[in-house]
Amino acid sequence: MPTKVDHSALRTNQAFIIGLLVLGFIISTPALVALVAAVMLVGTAFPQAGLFKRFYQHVLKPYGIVKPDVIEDNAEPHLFAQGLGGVFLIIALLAMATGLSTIGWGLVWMVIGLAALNLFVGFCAGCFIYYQLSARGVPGFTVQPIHSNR
Amino acid sequence: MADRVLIAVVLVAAGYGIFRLAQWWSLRRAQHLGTKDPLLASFVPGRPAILYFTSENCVPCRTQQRPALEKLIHRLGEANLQIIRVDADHDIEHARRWGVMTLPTTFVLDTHGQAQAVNYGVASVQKLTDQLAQLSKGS
Repeated sequence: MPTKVDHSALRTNQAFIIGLLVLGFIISTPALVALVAAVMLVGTAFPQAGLFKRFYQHVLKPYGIVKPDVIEDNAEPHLFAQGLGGVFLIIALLAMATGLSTIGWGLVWMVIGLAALNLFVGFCAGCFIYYQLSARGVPGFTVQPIHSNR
Repeated sequence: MADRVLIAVVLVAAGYGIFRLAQWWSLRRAQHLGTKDPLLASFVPGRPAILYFTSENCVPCRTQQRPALEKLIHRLGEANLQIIRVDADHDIEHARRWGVMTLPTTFVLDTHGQAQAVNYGVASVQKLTDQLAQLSKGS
């Protein structure tokens, strides 16, 4: 069932992910990647505990720095997309830990690219995968796209 | 660290460059299609148009792009602008031919039906207004 989703919170989340991962790459600090992965995975399991979204809710929104953009949408595909990104970052960290640094940072850049695609173009690759799995009746992917008169 | 900054800058620039290249290529392709494309059968020469690719399950189309287009047509008047809506899910072949990669996608067409600008993702009222103003300057 569609719920209300604040897309400003999603965009803030994406902006933080991109910013911190680029910073992590520049200062060559996998710990920063681990922090982002943890925030993404915790935010997927417990949506209200997402650190970047909380920053938006408690700082950016109340002070009017970012205006809310609440629309009727399915929250699940966005959570799945975030979880998928978190899993990719965990794989990246494992690659880095086993000496496959280039592959690890390559995966980090892939997550940055997909988050940027979502933030700047509005295409959520994780949501697309979710709806494809849903259309194929994969268990656990029960939410259908919202239909409208466009 | 300088080398990593350089790599980051190159990667970001490359990503932006690829995006702009895709935009340019899509626009070129749309211009080659010209006004004879069956998708523009309802196009009335003499008025600029916005070719709007959308779908039933595109959330930003419904919540952002459509209101922006309604605002634009309200502001400019139907006598000065036409909007041609295409369901990319039903007209997959058309969407492919026009190089639509994401929804919404909007093409700004001049008074002859030639594509002059393309926007991937939601295009704001201001952006579309600016693009339409560019058309008047160019003509």
